[in-house]
Amino acid sequence: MIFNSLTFFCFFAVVHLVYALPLSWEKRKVHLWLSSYIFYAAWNPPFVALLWISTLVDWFAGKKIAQAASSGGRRFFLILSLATNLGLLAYFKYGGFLLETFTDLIQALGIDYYPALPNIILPVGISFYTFQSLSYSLDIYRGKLQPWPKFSDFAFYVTFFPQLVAGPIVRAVDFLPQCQMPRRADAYQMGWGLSLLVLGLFEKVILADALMAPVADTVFANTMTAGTADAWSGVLAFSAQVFFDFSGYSLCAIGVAMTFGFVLPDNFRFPYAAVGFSDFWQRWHISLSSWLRDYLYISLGGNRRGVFRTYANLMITMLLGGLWHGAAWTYVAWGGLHGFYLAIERYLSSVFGGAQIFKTTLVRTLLGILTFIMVTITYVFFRAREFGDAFQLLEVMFFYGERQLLSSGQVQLILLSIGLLLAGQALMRKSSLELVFAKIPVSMRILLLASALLTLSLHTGGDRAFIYFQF
Amino acid sequence: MPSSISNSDFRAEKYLKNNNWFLVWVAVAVVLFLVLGSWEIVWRYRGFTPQITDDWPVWSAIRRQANNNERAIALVGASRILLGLDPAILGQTMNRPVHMLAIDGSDPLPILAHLADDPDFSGDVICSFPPYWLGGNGSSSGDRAEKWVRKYSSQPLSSKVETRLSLLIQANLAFRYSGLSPAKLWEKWWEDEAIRPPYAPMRPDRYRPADYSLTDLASLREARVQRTRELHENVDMFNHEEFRKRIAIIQKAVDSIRSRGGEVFFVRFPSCGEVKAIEETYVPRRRYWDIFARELSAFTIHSDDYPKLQNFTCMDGSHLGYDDANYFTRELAAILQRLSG
Repeated sequence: MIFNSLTFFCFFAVVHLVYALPLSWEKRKVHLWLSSYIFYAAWNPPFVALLWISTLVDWFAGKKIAQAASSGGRRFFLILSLATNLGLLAYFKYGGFLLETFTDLIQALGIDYYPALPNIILPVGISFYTFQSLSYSLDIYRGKLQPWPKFSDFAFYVTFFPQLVAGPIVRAVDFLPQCQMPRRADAYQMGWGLSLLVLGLFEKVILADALMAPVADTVFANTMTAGTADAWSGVLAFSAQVFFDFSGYSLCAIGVAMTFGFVLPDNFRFPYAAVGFSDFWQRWHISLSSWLRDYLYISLGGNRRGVFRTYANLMITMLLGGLWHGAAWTYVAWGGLHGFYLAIERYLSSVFGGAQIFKTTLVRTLLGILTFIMVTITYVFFRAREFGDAFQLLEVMFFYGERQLLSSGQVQLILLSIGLLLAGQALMRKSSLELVFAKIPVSMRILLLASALLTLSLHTGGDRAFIYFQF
Repeated sequence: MPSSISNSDFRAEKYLKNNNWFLVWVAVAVVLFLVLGSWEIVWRYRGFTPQITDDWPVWSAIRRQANNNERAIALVGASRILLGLDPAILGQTMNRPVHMLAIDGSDPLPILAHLADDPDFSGDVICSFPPYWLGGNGSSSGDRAEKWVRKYSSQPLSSKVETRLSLLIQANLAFRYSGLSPAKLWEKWWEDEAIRPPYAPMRPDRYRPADYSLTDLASLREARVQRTRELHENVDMFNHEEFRKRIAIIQKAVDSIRSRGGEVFFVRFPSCGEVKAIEETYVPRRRYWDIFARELSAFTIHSDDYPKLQNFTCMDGSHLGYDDANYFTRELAAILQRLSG
């Protein structure tokens, strides 16, 4: 079930109706928990079993880690939790990729080996809920969290439907305390939550799917025939598409959770207004980047083990972050490039960081534009089906080729949209969506929400799944 | 709302908390209702009617209805049957449920085979195909019918529910027609094109009644002749072996449907003028249809053989208009009843 579907709205209405009944808090939580299974089973019912495995193992591991007398015992149960979650991920997400890579390697050594490739279906959202569930056992291992006394609360935390399939990745330490006291959305939470849902849907359906996706799809499907203007337009369109798509999903998730009285973490803070890559990763998919920072980068030693290890840790974190996105070397390359940029930035700021010139508005603006351009160019690896397509597109981006795929109107529309997107994010850089919304007059808010709903009602394109569902 | 991860901006909360959210949403609902209501009235006034955007989930929904009912009649084929046979009239005349499974511009064989292979289907089939299909090389893997049949069996529950809800909306609101989406309207306005209702909108039962007064008939006819010529020039001219092979495959499907108590009727719909002439040139009846009808053990109905199915003026040369389709449907129903006793 996707947010941009009529089925979801019926489901949402029914879940709210039952939630509004005068039932005990325990019953209402169980209702949300079971509804979340229905939400997930709508894709492929048998995969609910994977959710159960992840839930049961982490619940059990969390308890045992806390009870273990020795550090060896604690480590054993942590490894059990890691092995189960990452094992599920490795099999379902990376099984085919690992076998293909192994086959390529063997064949490169001159051995004829052609195994039958496994036909594994990727369970939707597996990368998200395994990471979310893992944060529970990791936090208990680190002493940041005590095992939660109620299994139903923990299972509800893992499965809570707004964030189940594409985040934000919520930490147990942030969510479980919300299960203690009865929660009902007040007028503000209900009103603002629904507004976020509408704005998120508008970002996804209109801006990402209707405006940007057709251009990006055309260019990335025809890299051989793309000209320079086509290539730049396609890559810029994808840059906007992936932002609107994922940020739209996150807004929907946060908004839907808010209507039930729950708080989910922010996932985006105007990332295309970032000045530098470190700033970018504090604004883009924040719940994943902070997860990787806290549980991977810091676990590897962070910046505490010398300069070389710091850079190595940065690279490892970003390479694995890239791989998290998809089982293909192009994603690894995308992550690796971001790791490289972060390393360069770290080095440059250690040398020139104190210089006054970097604090001037002009230089910061130029650095912001440079960051956006680099982020956008790097998306070529994220979106391309294979390296050949990526290099083909990069070549034509920098060496002139006649425009062949897009009309001049499409190119102008993309440039205008990107200009507005960047200007908007730059203006709101230090603000928040909520604050921007709060500062406009009530009549304008009504007009804004009505216009968004109106456009959504009139739009008749197909319902595309969210890009991040495949991760 | 105390929480370490609160996504509420405290700077905004003081403004938004004091907001009367109930009134805001009531106002939004009123604006939405008024604008959408007016929008619907405008397009209805301009001749648009609610219609379905055809796709595999819609087809799958109708396909599913054809199962587990021995009285069901499935209509298989391409545009000629989609525009030429009204399932509602046929159902009424024969007092049986009729399901339109034809797919525009596609090969009917994958659907015929799908019905034949499905033990849950035990009804009758009326199959139409254009003449060139008999001389062609059969279905290609890129054919829509093949794709839709493949997707049918793996359609998730959420998609089935979504289709039902979407059909409900499309069947009642004219502005949900894909040609009236803001992007399409913008395109038409940009290119200074008139916004006209489609001449053959799809009804919720997937029938497409054609009203040729809504289209530029001369260019449509020209395009149809051109298309017919292209299709026939691609026909692998009378590949004897392929033709026999195809008859054998069809016979197998027919036998399978018959083994469950169903019957299959192959109907050659009328064509006219230049389109008919091209068809006769490239796929002459005596070399294709007649052999097909003779060798196949199933009912075959060629419109030229039945006086009441002749003399239609298919406006674009290839398809019937809705008045003719009504008449054709009633006459065909009478023939089917006679044939099946």
